[in-house]
This record gives sequence, C-alpha cells and structure tokens, in this order.
Amino acid sequence: MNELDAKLMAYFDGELDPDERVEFERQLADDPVLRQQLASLDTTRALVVGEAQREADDVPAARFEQIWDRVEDELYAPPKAGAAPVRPGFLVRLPRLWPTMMAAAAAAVIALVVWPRDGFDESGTASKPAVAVAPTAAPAPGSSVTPGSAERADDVVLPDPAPTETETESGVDIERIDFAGRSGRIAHIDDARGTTTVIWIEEDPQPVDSERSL
Amino acid sequence: MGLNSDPSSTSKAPQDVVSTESDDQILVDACRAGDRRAFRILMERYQRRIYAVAYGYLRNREDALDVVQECFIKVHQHLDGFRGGSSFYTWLYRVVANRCIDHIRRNRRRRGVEYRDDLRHDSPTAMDAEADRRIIHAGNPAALLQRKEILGAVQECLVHLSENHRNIIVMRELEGMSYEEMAEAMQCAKGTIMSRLFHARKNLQKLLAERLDLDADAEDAAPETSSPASSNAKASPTSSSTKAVTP
Repeated sequence: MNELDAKLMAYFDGELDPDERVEFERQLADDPVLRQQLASLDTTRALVVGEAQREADDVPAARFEQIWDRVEDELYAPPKAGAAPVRPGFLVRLPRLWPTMMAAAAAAVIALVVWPRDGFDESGTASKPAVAVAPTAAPAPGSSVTPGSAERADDVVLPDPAPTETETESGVDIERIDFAGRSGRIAHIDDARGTTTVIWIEEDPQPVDSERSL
Repeated sequence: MGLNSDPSSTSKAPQDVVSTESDDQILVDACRAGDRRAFRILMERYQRRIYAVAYGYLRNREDALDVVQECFIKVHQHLDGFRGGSSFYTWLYRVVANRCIDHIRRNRRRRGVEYRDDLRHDSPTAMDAEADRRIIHAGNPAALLQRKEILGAVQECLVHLSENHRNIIVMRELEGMSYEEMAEAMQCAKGTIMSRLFHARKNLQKLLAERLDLDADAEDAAPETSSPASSNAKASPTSSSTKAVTP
C-alpha cells in the first residue's frame, strides 16, 4: 500500500480532515485511474452491504418471533415450580403465624397449670401480653387464666406472663414466658401501630413444669 | 397505543410515553425502569441490522440467529452498562461483534482458501486495474444483487476471505467503525488496520471480479435466461462514497 492508496482509502472511509479532503478531491478530478479505483471501492462496498441486507430481509419474521419467545422465557420466566420459596425471617413471619399461635395458645390454656402469681402485679399495672397480639385480639390487661376459660375457643385469652423478671432496656421488655410447652425469656417490642414484636432470647434448659397441650 | 409526545408531561412514567416511534434513549430509560414493551420495541428496531452484522461475521444463518438471541439477553442484562457516550446502536453493534468474535474463536475452522494478510499490493497493477474495471462494469449493485447467482458469488467471495480480512470488512462496511475504533477492537495500531483493510478489499475485489466476469460470460452464453435487470444494466461508475449500514 503506497501513500496514494492510503489517501484514497482514507478519503473513501471519511477519515481525511477537511483540508486533506479538499486537496484530494482536486487530485481526483484530474486522475481518471483514481476515479475508477474509487468507483470500484464504492461498488464493492455496495455489494457487501447489499448482500448482508438481502440476507437479513430473507429471514422470516416468524423466525425472529421464535427468538423472542426464547428470550422472554429466559428473561421473564417465573421461578421454577417446586423450588422452595425463600422463607422470611421469624420477625417477618410472626404476624402470619398469628392464627397458628392463637390455636396453640388456646390448646395450651386448656392444659396449662395456673401461672405462678408471685410478683404478679394486679394493682392495675397491667403486664403486657407474652406474645405478639393483633390489635383486635388484645387480651384484657391483668386477666388471669383459669382452666374454664379454655372452653371459649373462639375467644382466646392468652396467659399473662409471670413477671418474676422484668427488665426494660431502651423500650424493650424482657420477660419470662411459659408458652405452648416451652419456657424461657423473651423480649417484646411495641411499636406505634400497636403491634408487638416478640423475640425468643433464651429457652430454659430444665423441663417445663406445665402440662403439654392435649 | 397512544404516543405522548408532549415534552411538558415529564411527570409520566416511562411506559406511558413508549411507542415504536420513541427515541432510543427514551426506550433505554424505559427498559431500565422495567418496561418489557420498551425493550422489545428497541430490539425489534435493530434485530435485522444486528442479524446482518452477525451474518457478516459468521456466514451461517442459524449461528447468526443464535448470536442475535444471546445478544438480546446480554443487552437486557447489561443495559446499565450503556453510558450514552455513543449512540445506542453503536454500542449494540459492538455487543454483537464481540459475541460473534467469541463464537468464531470457540468454533474456529478453516473455510475455503486462506489468503495471506500480508499480500503486497503495490500501486495499481494491470491486474488490479482490470479487476476494478470488471467490478464497475458489472452493473448497478442493487440490480446485481437481485440475481441469485450474483448474490451467491458475493457470499462465496466473503467466505473465501481469511477470518481477519472478513472481520475487518464487516467492521468497516457493515458496522461503520472508524479506523481508531477498529484498531481498539483488534488491539493493533491504526496503520496495521489500514494496511489490513487495504489488502482485504483488494482480495475481495479480485475474487468479485473473477466471479462477476464468469457470471457475465455465462449470461452471454445463455441470453434467454437473463433477467430484465441485467439486460438493462450498464456500466455506470458511482462517483460518491457509499455510507456503511446505518439506521
């Protein structure tokens, strides 16, 4: 490739700066061989581009539709059936577990030994419920559990906690609980909406002394 | 589907302004916001063009369609990578070209005769000049390509080029890349690109000249089978440069 070839090619590909372009066009006007070479480049390009365009036009639209079907399957397919859904954490699941917990609490109430009343304050300073309570199902403060109350399965009254240890740390109440055959310490946090979030802190290692549910 | 072309209604969500006439950037923004329809419009706008580029590289319809499918997925996944520095289709073409080059590397096989990249072409020899003359006098390219045999001849010539030569022809003629862009893509100097492109074109022109001449001879021998287009075709050298494929 000599200098003239390089200039011709750069001119053809639009790579010359404006001054170089003007100068080359003067040269082109005076040189028929140069013009023939330029025309040959032009025709060759048109054949290459035209061939590719013809080939693209020849592909049936249905073929592209097939591609779209596969692309959309790949990009937007729902999660495969049978895949285990990601379980949200306990605190997130808690409100959804409420019906289950209510039923378990009702069963526990039937068989539960009366809560020890040592330190239980019935003066009107109501202890908070031991588990998360939906606002509509909040038990009456200070209510105590008696075996008879379990008969009203549709009106569950949760056992009051035995406040043998009560700590408050930055609005978090930590209490003992005996619930559904387990006992331990929990923390419950109340928010402005009236929802109480309950967290198990630790479970008592000794056997629970309350009867299990029937 | 309504097209909201009111420039003052900027508070509308992207999917409310998306249509087949929307600008690329509007469609890209809508895609990023999760608008599936915008993505489809954007891809359908360019699907045949990117197919043409892929076919230019791969010379096989099914392989090229596979690459198109891969590119749609890749573009969707990496749309955030489009910074807007170049036009969207330029970016898209590069995605396609890179996929094609990867495809070629994975399935590398020799096709036809491999021409040496370092073939020397000095100032116009009689052979080069003859090749130019034959190409020019074969007729109007658009008319030529209506003929199956010419289309086949062009396809064969491209297949017979070496991979490097074919790639650079595709980059320049189909993708419209500048010398600098090609140098970056092929990781070589601009001078190397120019030399490679020069030789690629010379080789292609020689192949075309032979095939077009053969086809012209075959046509002369059987005038009753000639198409109307070829019988009207007259040598008319083009004087203006033809732009590469651009939307």
